[in-house]
Amino acid sequence: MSTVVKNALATWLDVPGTGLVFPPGGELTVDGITPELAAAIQAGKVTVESQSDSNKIIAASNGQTVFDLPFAWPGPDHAHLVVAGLVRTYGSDFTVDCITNELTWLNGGVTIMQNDVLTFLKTGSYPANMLGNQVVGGGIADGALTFAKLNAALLAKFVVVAFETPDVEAGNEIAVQMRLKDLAGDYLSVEHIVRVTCDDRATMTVGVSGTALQGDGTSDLIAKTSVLGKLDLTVAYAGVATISLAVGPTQLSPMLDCAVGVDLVFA
Amino acid sequence: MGIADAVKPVKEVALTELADAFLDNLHVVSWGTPGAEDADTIAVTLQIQNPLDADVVCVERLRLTCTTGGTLSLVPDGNGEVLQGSGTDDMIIETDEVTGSFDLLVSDAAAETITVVAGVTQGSGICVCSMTVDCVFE
Repeated sequence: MSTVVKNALATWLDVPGTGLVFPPGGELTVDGITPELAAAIQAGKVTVESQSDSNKIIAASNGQTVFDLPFAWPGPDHAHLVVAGLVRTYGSDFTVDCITNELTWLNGGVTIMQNDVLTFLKTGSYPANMLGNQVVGGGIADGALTFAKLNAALLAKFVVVAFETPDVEAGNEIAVQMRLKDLAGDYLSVEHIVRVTCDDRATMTVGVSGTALQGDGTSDLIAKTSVLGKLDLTVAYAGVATISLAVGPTQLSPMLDCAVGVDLVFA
Repeated sequence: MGIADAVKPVKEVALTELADAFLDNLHVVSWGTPGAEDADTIAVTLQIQNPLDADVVCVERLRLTCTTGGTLSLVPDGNGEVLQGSGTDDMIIETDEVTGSFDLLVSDAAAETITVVAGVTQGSGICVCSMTVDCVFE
C-alpha cells in the first residue's frame, strides 16, 4: 500500500526513526505507516493525502490486453502475476516491456473483463536499484544525499554562522545580531561558543542575547550564543570606516562554518 | 540478493552517496608534492578538496604555521592571497577563488626539514586540516 503524506506545518518536520524529513508543506510517498509516523498523523503534524495499492491493476474494459504497470517492473523473478486465482507464467501468459513499463496479456484462452483484478505478488528478493528513497532504509543512489535528507540531529552537527542585517549607526555604535543556522539554512536554537574578532580600532560588547565569556568591550571576543542561537553584538567605533567582523571556532566550538562575516559601515 | 542485503542498515551511508553540494561544504586541506629547492626556497601548493579528493573551487581562509627557522609567503604571481604574516612562520591566507588553491613558498637557509601545518581560523569554513607537508632543505 503506497501512501502520500504531507507535512501540515510551516516548518521542516523530521519524523524520528523513519528517515522522513519533510520540507514545509511538502509531500512524501511511503510504503508503510510506522508508529512514529502514525503519532505524527494523530498529532496533526502530518496529513494523509492519498493511498493506493501498487500491487493491483483493475481492468478498465472488456478484452483489455495492455496495462500500465503501477510500479517499475523488477523482472519476472521478483514479481508474479495472479489472474483469476492462478499464478500466470511470464512469457506465455503475459509479458512486460521494460522500456514502456507496459504489461501485455498474451493468453487468448482467458479474456480479461472490465473490473477484473490483476494482482502482483512481489518476492522478498528485490533488486537494490528498484528500492526507491521512500523505502525506509533503502538504497541511496550515489550523489543523492542532500542536506534535506539528514535528520534534524545530524543536520544540527553542521553549524553555520550567519549575520542579520545590521542596525543603523547611532552614537558611534552599530548593533548586529549573529545567528546560528544549519547547512539547510534553518535557524539553530542552540548554545555554542565562538570567537569574534574585528579591526582593533573598534570594540564589541554583547547585548541581550548571548553571553560574553572573555574580551567584552574589546576587538577580540569569546562569547556564547543564547539558547536560541543568537548573539547580539554592539560594535563601537568613532570615525569613518568599514569595520569587518570575522567569526571563528575556538575551544569548545562545534564543527563550524564561519565563511560569512559582516561589514559595518561607520559614516 | 535477499531483502536483508538490499535494505541497508543504519550507519552505512557512504561518502559517495552525498550530493555534490553537501560534499563540497566539507573541505579537506591537501598538499601537492614540494618542488625542488631553489635559492633556499621550496614551492608547494595547497589545494582545497572534498572528502572524495575532488578539488573544490572556493575561497577558504586558513592559518599556516611552520617549524621555527622557516618562513612562509606566496609564490610570486601564484594563486591565493596573503591576509597577514607574509615572510613569517605564522600566516593567514585565502585560497584562490578560481582554483581553490594557494601557492606557498617556504624559505629556509639552513639544512633542515620544515613542516607546514594548516588550521582553521576566523572566517574559515568546515575544514579538515590533518595533513601536513614537509619541505626538506639541504
